[in-house]
Amino acid sequence: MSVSKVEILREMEYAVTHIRERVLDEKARGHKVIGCLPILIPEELVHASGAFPVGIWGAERLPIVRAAEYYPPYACSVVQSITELAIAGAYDGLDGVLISCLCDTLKCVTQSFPLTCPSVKPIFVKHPQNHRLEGAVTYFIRELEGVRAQLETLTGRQITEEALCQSIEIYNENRKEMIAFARLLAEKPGLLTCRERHTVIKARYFMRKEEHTRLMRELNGMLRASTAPSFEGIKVYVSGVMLEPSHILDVMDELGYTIVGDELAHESRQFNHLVPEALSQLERLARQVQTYEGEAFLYDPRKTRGERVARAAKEAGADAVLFALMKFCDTDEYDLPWVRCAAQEADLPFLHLELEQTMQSAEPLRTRLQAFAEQLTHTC
Amino acid sequence: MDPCTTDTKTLLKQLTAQYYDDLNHAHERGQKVVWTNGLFPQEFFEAMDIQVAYPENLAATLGAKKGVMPYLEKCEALGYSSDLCSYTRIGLGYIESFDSDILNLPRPDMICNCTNICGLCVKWFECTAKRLDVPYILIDTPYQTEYGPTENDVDYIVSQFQELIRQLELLCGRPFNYKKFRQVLAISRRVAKSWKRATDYVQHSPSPLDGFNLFNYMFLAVVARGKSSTADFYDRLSEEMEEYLREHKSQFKGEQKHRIMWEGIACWPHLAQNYKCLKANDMIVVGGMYPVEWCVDYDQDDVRSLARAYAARPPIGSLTRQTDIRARIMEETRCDGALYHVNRSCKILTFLQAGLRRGIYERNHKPFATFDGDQTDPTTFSPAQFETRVQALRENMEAAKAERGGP
Repeated sequence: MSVSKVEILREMEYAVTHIRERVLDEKARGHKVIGCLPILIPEELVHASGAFPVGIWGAERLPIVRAAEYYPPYACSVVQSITELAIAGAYDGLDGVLISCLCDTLKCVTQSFPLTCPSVKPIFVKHPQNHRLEGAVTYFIRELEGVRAQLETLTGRQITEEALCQSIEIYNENRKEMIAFARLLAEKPGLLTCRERHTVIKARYFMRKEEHTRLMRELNGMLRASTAPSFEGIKVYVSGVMLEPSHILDVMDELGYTIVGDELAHESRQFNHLVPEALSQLERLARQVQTYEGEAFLYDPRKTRGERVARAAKEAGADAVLFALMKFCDTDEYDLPWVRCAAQEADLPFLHLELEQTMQSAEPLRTRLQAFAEQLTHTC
Repeated sequence: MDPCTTDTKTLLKQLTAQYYDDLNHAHERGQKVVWTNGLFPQEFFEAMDIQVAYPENLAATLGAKKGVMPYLEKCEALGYSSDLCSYTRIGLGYIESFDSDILNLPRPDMICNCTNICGLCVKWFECTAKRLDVPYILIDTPYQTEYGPTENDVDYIVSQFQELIRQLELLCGRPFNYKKFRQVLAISRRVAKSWKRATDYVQHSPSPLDGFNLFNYMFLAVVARGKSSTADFYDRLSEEMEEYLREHKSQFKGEQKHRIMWEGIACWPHLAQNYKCLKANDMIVVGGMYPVEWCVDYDQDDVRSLARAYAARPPIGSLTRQTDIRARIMEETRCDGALYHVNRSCKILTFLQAGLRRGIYERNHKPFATFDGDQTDPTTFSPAQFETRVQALRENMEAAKAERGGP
């Protein structure tokens, strides 16, 4: 491993482990900081307002105590930990948050967040579920106009067409690098560990995209120049919401797994759709939502997610599909049997792991991953 | 049977039987069958003479008649999580065989869903449509993050109506019947008003109407909101309540010492136990969301008003709006307290409940109690817990009354 690669990974690791420091640093520079909750947030608008967008997807292994005042134990752990952190004041330094309502739990978050974190301005992003219709594009443009106006008030800075166009280009550049990165790891499995891959992708949430893209260009250049290692472990394609708590990644690395592709909401689904061209910049953002197919959180009348996962897994050269099911995520719980079925029809062994972001130990998951690895080895 | 004189209990049975007979013979008569959720704009189906089935109702009926376990087990065997909503699990299990001894639905020619009750239905019907290989149409009514629906929401919904009409024309192989549609709008408005008038009888004290019976009376407001016979039925219920008032009678046979609001969906498998326990504690249910939820009224007979009415359904209302509605219900029906069903299945209602309870209590300082249950999974309910919570509620209401110097 070259020193430069180590440095890049270290910088990204620093970004994901020093979020508070980064937020304070941005504030000290006079920048507003806007939190972006799951699932699909048009971050470009935040960027164009000059504010620093920071991802809010909860925290790992956080004991849930006070969130129980708002949510019963069968709310998903991402929302539980966001609520716990909000009550603890972890988000008090933010100037605003963007919250989508793409599932029933997130709809409730739009209402509970202002109660748990009253000092932070909430801005709601109401995506159209019926996203393919032209009426949905018109609707979403108007919704985004509202988001833009609220961000302008919050930051005191007008979001011009030019600024937004520039932000979209910056984000699209980052997406292109990320797509290339994911492909490189499929072409040369084992070049990075599961943990490193995750860190590279997660760092997007806590760095300015220009900064992240610069590092990605360097990293991708090195990966392209690297010889593919002779990898003899198990190549998996990962589906689901997120692959955290991250000690599961260490377990996967220990057991000889590598990730050759994913469609995690927390990871690839954040960058695998470029913002297309259109007549205005807001229309471009609205039409990006129109381009989604087989997206778990949007209406999919032909329910194509399973087939898409199987196809992508095959294309990535995966030996198996791993479904990381975030417990109590209804959206994924309805899709799980279909993804399993499609994977099996494509002769891809399938493992589903039930995760909670708040879980303290990965040991029960280790046993399952170990058994799956043994099963695959025997089959081979 | 004369609908003008027959008692509503008998009449409801007759109309329910008629509905299922029409539904189950639809295909024989060349009619199409659509499956949908309870607050879908049924006006479009009625205009096209389409028979409509409600899988949620099927689940509730099977729940009330102790017939859900085979379907819950089947669903789990298919790989769905047992954490999912029990209505949806029953539905997904049921479509594997369509073989209930209690009640059956004809196979759908199309599935339609409106997001104005819950978001899970989007996925449930997606799975159902895929399994049964039928088209699936969505009307998306955006969540009311700020308070109520916006004009942008209404425009978006109207644009989806255009697509719905196109799809229904394709399904039926004939042009959309706009003339009948306008008639149905007028009838549906009449149904809304009749339902509202009938359910308002719970506001009397003592109440002639047992609010618990709304779990039964609502059936027609769900499945036949576009039919004159439904308006006639609710008018008949109002007449019956007038007779009860004149004769100082009530459907509730216990003592009406405490008037309460029931929050949430019924606990269908345990209705009898719930009712007996409330009655034993001298509690009559007078407040609830059903009168508001199923009163789909619009200002005038045009499509924007229709879209606005369906966009404004309470389950997708902001916390403030939902609090306002319930506080008003408790005030209008003169509730002494509230009983909250912490429903394991219904996230959209349950996850806001903590804020709701707090908000309502801050306004009216009425005692409340919660109990854990589920709309149709019988295993997620403890009769002992229910009894204890109801007793605690009674004691708190008595204490509150004593403090105020009341009876």
